[in-house]
Amino acid sequence: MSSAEAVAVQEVTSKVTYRFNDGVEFEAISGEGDTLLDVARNNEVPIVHQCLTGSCASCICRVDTGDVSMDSDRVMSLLPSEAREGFRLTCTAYADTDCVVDLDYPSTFSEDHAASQSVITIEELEWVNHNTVRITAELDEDAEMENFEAGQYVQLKVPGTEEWRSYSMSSTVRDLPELTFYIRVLDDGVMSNYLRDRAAVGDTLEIDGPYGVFYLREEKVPQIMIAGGTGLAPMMSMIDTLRLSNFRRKPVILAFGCSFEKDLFAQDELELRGNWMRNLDVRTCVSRPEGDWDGLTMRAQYSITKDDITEDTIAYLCGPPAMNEAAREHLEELGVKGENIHVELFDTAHA
Amino acid sequence: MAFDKKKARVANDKGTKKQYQPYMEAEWGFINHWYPAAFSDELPEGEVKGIQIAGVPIVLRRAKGTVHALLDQCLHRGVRFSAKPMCLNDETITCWYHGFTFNLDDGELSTIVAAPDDKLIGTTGIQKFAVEEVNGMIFVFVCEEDWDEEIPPLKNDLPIRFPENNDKFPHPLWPDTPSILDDGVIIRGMHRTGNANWRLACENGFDAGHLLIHRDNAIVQAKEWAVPLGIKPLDDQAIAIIEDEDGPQGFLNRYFTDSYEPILENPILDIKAYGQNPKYFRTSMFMPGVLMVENWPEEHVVQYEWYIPITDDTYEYWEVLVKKCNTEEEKKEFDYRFENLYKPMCLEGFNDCDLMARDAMQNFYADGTGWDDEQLADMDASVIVWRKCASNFNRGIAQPPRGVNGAKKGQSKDLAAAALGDWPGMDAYATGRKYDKS
Repeated sequence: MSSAEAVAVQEVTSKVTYRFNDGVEFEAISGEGDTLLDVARNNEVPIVHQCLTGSCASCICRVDTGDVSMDSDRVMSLLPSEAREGFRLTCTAYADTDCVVDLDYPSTFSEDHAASQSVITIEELEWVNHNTVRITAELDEDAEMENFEAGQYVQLKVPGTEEWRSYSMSSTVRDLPELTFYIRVLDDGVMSNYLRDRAAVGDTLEIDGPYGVFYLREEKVPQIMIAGGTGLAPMMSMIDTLRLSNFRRKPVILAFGCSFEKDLFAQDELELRGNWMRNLDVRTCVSRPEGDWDGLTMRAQYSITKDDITEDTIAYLCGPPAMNEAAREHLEELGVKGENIHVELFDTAHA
Repeated sequence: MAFDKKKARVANDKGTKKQYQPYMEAEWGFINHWYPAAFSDELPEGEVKGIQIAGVPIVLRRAKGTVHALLDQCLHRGVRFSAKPMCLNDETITCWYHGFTFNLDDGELSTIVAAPDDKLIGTTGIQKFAVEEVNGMIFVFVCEEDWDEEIPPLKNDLPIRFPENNDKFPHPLWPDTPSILDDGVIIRGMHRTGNANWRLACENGFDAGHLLIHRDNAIVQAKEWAVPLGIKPLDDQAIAIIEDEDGPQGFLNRYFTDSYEPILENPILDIKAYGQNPKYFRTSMFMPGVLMVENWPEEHVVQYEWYIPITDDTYEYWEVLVKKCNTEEEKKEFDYRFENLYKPMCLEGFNDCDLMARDAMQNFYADGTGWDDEQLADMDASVIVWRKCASNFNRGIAQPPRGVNGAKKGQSKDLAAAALGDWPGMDAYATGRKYDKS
């Protein structure tokens, strides 16, 4: 941006209209250098947000009209395809003109799902494959967290450090005060090192949440879930939530993929859910099979075909960025509407 | 001496429990199933009766011969219609409090007694349930409000039938038993309320180890039935899973085959089964919780039982005997035996012991911990099979209800009822039976 252009931008004040999916709208004036999130927060517009740095994607919106630019250096968690479709992260986005942005959750969402801080105590710690740990933990009895949506995440503070990491619950609100997580353990990383070297039943961890707008929409329509690796966790919460609400009469397809067979986990849990929900179709995929793997050999998203799609299908994607990107593209080609595809970032870079 | 319970060998370890999680979640029962609601003779023409199934209050009314079932909760202020029935014509039911009046055929609010111009009229209504009346029993399809599928046939929620299943499940030791759906059968029975969670009741009838409680029953002694102390499953053929896509779903205990061993004595305790007369029977259990005891209590007769959740700590215990009677004489004789022998000595005497046993389990399970702390043994194989079947085959888990009897514990009405015994109106609140001291 040249200095002349920068001056021109700064002189502009734009009117921003925030439109929530319950029809509630807020209008506010964007001042100099304000992000859309700044504008919202200064004017008590109830936008969900968490990290403020463009990495958590909680503050996502979609531009309906007007020009909204993004600070592309800071946008780490938006897919290129999402950016092309008008999605922006409000914490790194600027209103270049008057604009209308849509928030795909009700205006009451952030109040109903206010984050709070507490501690959890690890009750069970189980290695479910060579590099994945399943943690079952109990929330402190004084905790304020009484509600979360299936698909949301919390932040956990790694014991002995000042570092926080984000993990989606695989359990449901019905299981509270118990929370369950599937965490991938990498060769290095503060949480990975903790889990591999020091974690033990009885440990307490600080917790902050719930966060995120990747959550199960209640619509009684066919559901497609595509999960890579521990991206399965939020899907398990969603599947159990659907099961508990007797969602039996529309199909639910879960495409779960890993690179190698040894990376798979929770197969017994998924098989049980397949028994319990006749409408649940679990497609377990391995993209680089070795030995005698006789299941689907492909990346998970490609197990979804044209026949699986209906006009009102809702899709949820949670996996590494490359999977999310390819899965979104694939689903849109098959005819799933862009606004019906919900994506959760899943980034192990700082595990 | 202290025992380490953790080291005990258990038939239902954590891995097993995981497999029937939906069953553990079904405190209030399963929904989207057919349940018996009343005997036909409990609902004569014009009569109104309130019941509650899986937390859903339901009012039955017979008008021009047809039985209708609607949600028994006025949408205005939530009172039960059945508490003080008011029917001003054959097409409607009127709420006795403020006169909201609903069509029997579709549940729509069709008028209000003293406000016939109210704007609400025609815009709202109450849930309506499908009803089937067969051979003297009234069944209701208890479903979620948003059920929008074709209603499965009643036969899918009743036990398998004979002779059509003779090849699959032969029974060389006794003749075919009839079904509720057979033409020309007579059904005699009773129902009453038990004070336990419905699942504890369900798990009693087919439980191969529980026969001990019937050892001293009068009918067993009088007829010198050789009822074993218990029946022990020996192999994986002992229990057959029944899983037809379009048919009854459940399981059958292959009693009196090589897969089950009757236990007739325990020398350590010097106890033996009494009785010289062989008593052949077989138990099986089907969704949504209906027991079949073939060849019981006499040949050509079958006993069915339901344990229908009313709340999460009460259930309606149904027992019926079904017999095909070809002549008036046969019918008369069976009626005599039912009234004078089987009702007092079997459905009451014998099965009273079951009722007591279920209620006796309630404290241990009431707060949920019993399901974790119980220690099942090999004799309980069929209990575990039932829990898995129920987890897989149910059409939905009833949600804990709001605003109905039993949803909130320890209310003043419960305490008053307990203290006074016959608090006026208690029946109407608690059971839907009408309060007719008008």
